[in-house]
Amino acid sequence: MAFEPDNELLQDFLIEAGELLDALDNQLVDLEQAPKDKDLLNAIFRAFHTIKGGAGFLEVTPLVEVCHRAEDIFNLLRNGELSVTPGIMDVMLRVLDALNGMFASLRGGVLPAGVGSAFLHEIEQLAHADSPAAASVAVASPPPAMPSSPPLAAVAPPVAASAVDLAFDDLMRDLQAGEAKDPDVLAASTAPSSDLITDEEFEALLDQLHGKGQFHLPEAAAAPAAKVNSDEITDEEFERVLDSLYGKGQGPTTASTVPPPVASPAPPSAPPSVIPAAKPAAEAVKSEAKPEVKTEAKAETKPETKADGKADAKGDTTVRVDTERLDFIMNLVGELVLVRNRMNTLKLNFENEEISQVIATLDMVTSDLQGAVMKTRMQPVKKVFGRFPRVVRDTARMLGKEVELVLIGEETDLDKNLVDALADPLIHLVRNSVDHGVEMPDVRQAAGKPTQGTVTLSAAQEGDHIRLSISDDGAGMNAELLRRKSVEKGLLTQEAADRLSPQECFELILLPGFSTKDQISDISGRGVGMDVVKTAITRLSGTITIDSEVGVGTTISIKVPLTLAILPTLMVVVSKRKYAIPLGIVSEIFEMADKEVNIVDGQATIIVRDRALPLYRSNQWLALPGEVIPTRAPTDLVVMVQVGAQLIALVVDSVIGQEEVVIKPLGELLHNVGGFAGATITGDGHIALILDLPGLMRRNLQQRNRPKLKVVA
Amino acid sequence: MSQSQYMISDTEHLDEMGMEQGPVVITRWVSFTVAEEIYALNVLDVQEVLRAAEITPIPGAHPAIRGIINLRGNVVTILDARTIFTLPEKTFDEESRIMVVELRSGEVAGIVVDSVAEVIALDEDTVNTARRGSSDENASHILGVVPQVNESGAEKLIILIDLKGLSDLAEK
Repeated sequence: MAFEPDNELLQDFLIEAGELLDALDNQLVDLEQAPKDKDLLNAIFRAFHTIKGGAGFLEVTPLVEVCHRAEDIFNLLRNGELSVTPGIMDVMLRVLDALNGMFASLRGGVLPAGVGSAFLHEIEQLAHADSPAAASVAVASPPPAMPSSPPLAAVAPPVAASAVDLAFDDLMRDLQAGEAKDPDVLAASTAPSSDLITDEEFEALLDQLHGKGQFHLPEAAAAPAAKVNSDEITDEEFERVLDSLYGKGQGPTTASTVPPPVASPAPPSAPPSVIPAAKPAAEAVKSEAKPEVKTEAKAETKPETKADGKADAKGDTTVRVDTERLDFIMNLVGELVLVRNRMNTLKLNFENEEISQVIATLDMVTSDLQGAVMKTRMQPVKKVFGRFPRVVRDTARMLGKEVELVLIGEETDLDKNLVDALADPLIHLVRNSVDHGVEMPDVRQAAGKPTQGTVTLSAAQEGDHIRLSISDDGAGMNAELLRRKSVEKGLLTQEAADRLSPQECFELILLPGFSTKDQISDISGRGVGMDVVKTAITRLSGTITIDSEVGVGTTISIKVPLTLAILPTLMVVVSKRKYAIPLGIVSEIFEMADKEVNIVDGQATIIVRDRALPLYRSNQWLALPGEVIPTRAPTDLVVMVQVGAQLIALVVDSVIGQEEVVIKPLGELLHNVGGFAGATITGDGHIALILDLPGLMRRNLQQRNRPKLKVVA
Repeated sequence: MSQSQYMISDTEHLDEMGMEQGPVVITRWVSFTVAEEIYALNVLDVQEVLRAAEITPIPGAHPAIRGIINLRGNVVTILDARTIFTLPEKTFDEESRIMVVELRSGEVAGIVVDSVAEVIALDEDTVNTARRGSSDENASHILGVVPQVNESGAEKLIILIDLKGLSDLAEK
């Protein structure tokens, strides 16, 4: 089977192996923390093996080449023949990067290019790096393409001669016949052999050898042999067979000796050990089998097999659904919500009890449906968090820092779109924390802190919002310095800067003007790209707050709504047109009537509970060309909204009330019009624009070209 | 909302109207008027024609953008043909129509025209002859000009519009 980009199997493979790859990312970083964790080593080994198997089947040779070698190394690692070193980890993480690259190109329907023989060789060399045990294996083991026919043919006779059972002979014959039929396979030196004999099968052979040689257990040998002959042996099948053997094995012989060979289902990449073992015939097999067997017995514990079984059972009850389809359903539900809103409006026109009841039921069912559909789109925030161990590790290693990452609330569910959209801002913030928050080990020691810094990433649901926070126990930020800097940069006047609370000072780093590098060392970089992060969070209707204490650390909190699809808003009327203000940023509504408006420095200002707030007239901001803007009316209402770190007072003509709306994106033609997050269809069938107040403010203040107000935006 | 529309992208329907395919390749065009001039867009470019719709204005948008409408639950941006062709503005009246087209970017947009007249059939040769050789930057939305004799015998020019060029103009 040649490589076919449209192959359905390929798509399945990409999804499943992609998940394995994501998991590998974490597992590898975990492994660095716990280099002796056998379960982890086995899991990694299995992941590489599964990817290799799939890739081999789909004939994605470059993938096979890399996975195969990585698998070999992990086989040595889990057998204790090698130990985990930073060098190995670096290469393995690079392997992972290479695999990710290949997956990306596969997703694009292109057969990925190989990683080059130099890199492959480098991976192989890892096996020779240390440990005397590895040395002998390495000498004897042919290059990873080993199960190709010539070496096998050479091996076969002595093995057969040493009175191994007939099943093995049959298998060898099958093998040789199979290979002879396909000269192409012979010619290609690397992966193709995996089509003909998989590592599991080989492992089975080894097991048979062991079983035969050591325990004379014919039934045990026969069962795997039968399996081996069928080409389509899967990991599960194999595991099952081995499990059944495990049980049987306990009967005829002593429990301590039998389990080992049987309980090693996963070590598929026996190649390096199999060949040398087989060559010197039966005695060698016996002697070498023993040490290997022990480690494997420990590694492959029973509970793990059970867990696998559970996962399988669960797999049967789930269905993979294209996110596009979910989006479509969500859209339809959105429409339904609008119809419901409309019905609710119409209900008032009827005095009919029955209609009211029906509409009330519709209302309830729609709400439930909305909730249920929303749930299907929920994904654990783990999906984003999962990348961070690697990010932290790489950043810390690059900077020579010691940083521990603590993840809290990984299982918190979040709308899929949000999960995707949050990834980049969070990576930025986490990297910032490691880079600029946590100090160098010697600085930390001098400050009386442990040399290892801690970055904590947590997620928790708070009502209809999710709060994500990134905190470090680093140097913290100096509010005074920030204040001074803002004045030096001309972003604020001295007076304005003096009025800022410490927290408002920290939030200065979110301003675009702060994202330059010429800053004093202890705050340097904190602002780099922070305005980008802020923009991204704002786009998700989220807010960002910063808290910091010098010498203690910094905490950045992000609050985002649970879902983006349906937005609770406050409907207001401005110049007889309806607009929706996201409810999340509305803090208060009051009557303008007798409030005194002062003009401070050219800016209308209103005093609310002893606090001066800038006052803006929305009908000025939302005026159409040629429209006459009415002046202050006694019926004016003021909506207090949080725009970034600033509270502003916005004058509107009237307030209709709260309404849940479905955001409809504006067309591309309108993308350069700032100030609108989208549009929605209201309960009465009209269109209302959803205001994006930060954008609207920016647009209007820029128009008037008053740079000193920039900080307000 | 009184949104009535007649689908004209349905070719079978057109054949029933007595416009069978001849040996010559026939293309069909929707003719419409803007400021007394007759224009025509290829029928395949036009998704539907709307009579009236409540257009919600967008404060701060480009002058050529009249606003947005609710088209069966989708928000569609509405352009004004008069502004695009730099003609004086005119308010939406009984005859006014919104032609819904798919722009090159894939975005569906509506164009307000003074009136939509009919679907005319032109053979490929006529269109090709009319196709202008030069590529005038300022008039890239005009594909060519075809003379047409109306019922009263008077000859009138029909300006064929190139949707691609129109997309460029709209995106400016």
